[in-house]
Amino acid sequence: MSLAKLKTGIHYAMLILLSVLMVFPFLWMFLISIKPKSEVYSGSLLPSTFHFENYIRVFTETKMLLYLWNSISVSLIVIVFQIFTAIFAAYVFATAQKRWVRYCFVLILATYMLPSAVTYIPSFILLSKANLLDTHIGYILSELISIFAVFFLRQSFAQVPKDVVHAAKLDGAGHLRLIFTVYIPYCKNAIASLVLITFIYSYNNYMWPSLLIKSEENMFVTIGLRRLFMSQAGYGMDFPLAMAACAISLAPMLILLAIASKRIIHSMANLYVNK
Amino acid sequence: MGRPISKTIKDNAWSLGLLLPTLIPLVIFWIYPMIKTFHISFTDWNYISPDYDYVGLENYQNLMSDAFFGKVLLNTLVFTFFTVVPPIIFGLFVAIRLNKIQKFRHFFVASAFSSWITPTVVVSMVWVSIFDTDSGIVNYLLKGIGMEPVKWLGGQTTAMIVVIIVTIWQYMGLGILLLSSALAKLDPEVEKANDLDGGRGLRKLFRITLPAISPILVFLFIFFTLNSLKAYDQIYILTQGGPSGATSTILYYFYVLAFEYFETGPASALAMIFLVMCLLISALNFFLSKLLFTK
Repeated sequence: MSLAKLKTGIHYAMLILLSVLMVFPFLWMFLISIKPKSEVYSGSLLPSTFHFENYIRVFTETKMLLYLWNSISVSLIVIVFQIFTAIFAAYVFATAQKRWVRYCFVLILATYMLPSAVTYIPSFILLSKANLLDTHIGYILSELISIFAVFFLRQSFAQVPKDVVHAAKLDGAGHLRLIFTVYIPYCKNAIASLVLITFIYSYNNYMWPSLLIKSEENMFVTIGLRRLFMSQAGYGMDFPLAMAACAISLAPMLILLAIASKRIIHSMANLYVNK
Repeated sequence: MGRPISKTIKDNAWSLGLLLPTLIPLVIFWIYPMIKTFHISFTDWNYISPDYDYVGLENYQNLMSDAFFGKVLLNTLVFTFFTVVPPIIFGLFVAIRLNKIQKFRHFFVASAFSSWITPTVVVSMVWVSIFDTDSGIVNYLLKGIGMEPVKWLGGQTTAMIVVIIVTIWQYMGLGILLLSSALAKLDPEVEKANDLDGGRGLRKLFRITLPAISPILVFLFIFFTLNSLKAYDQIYILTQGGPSGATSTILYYFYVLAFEYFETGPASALAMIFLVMCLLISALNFFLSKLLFTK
């Protein structure tokens, strides 16, 4: 009995150690963010006094608030487009048996396997010809669809029971009514997971938007933070300010984790396992 | 309910109408650009000038004889090699332990998983601070055991080590999550088989546990490989490909060629080579899955 308890204790101790290692960068970020600048190089781990004013400085000395607004608002718009285009496409792929529909699906499947970097140069030229470089509209246009979302929803739509669909059809439901009164309500969990995943992906996205967005008032969090970080590299880094900005940029993720961590973890796990 | 033929036409029209919102952006931002990149890769176009000439395979030949491209390719392979297997092994180690406890399991998974869902750009900045020569904790610890401080991001080998550590740390979040949930699903069966076999420890791991979760192991292997080939964000923040190209990988070199030097032709050729590499990995995935999981 006590041996078993000891074993459990060792397991917990190891896991606590491992999770401290995993979250260490976040702890470090927080510790630096509350240090006065003069203590960064002092060599002591803990600050002598807590300086939460670094967080206020992020808002007064940088445009972090604007970056946050840009990131969140553009991500939400992108989500709406990606989810609705995916719902319509997934409905057709899950229900229509025509040969041309299957060809379309193979085409999409083929594009899914190719790295998106291959599209960057022509897409960039296309947006520059349309005078949409450095605009949110240009970025949103290039992110209207998510091929991954189409696959994800097609799988859950295929699991909607045939008799439920049949009953709705007998009621005289057309395609749009089927989508909105049968498929969407039936797959609301899958759609909610997709919304979360799409938001996280869109908020974190960096390479493609950083090529498009160049002026400060249009920057997203990831691009703006990098600018803030690099602009200081020359004159001795203001690490407390930078780390406070990093911490603030993680706030949307922390809020999501706080309210929906079970769902995020569950959907991420199923996402990859059931593919 | 019209006649059957008009119903078929109507159904097709509906299918097309619902697919168009996906197909139009797909053609404009995926299919056309891919074909165009292939086309540009045979020209000497430089983005700024209005006209260009066809140069045949010259861009490809130049890349093949470019010593820096060789270095970039080697960097990518080294980086991929060291970032794919370690997070799977460490992740498995943690996941097996996680599955032996009941309380706080969710909390542990969530704390590990946060490394995967936070922006790579942001966490890379934090790692810059951790490895900073004068104020970072790594050198602080080194000094504590009487060693000289290291200029981590200033040395060719050490910079690569830092980029690899940051990437392994990020991947472990996903690895722990997927492996622990795969183990949790299998556990009752595995335990039963284990009792019948009387296997223990490593023997149990290799004979029962690993085969049972092999689909997820293959998935992680392929997913991490593709992700490492595409690595860009952490390199851009941590090292900008330096010092002297020591951490430049394929995608980073593509960025430099295309968007700093505007060498559009060579950059497109590089993109096509990159595409072929990714296709090879996808083909490997296909055959591995066929080989292992068809009954």
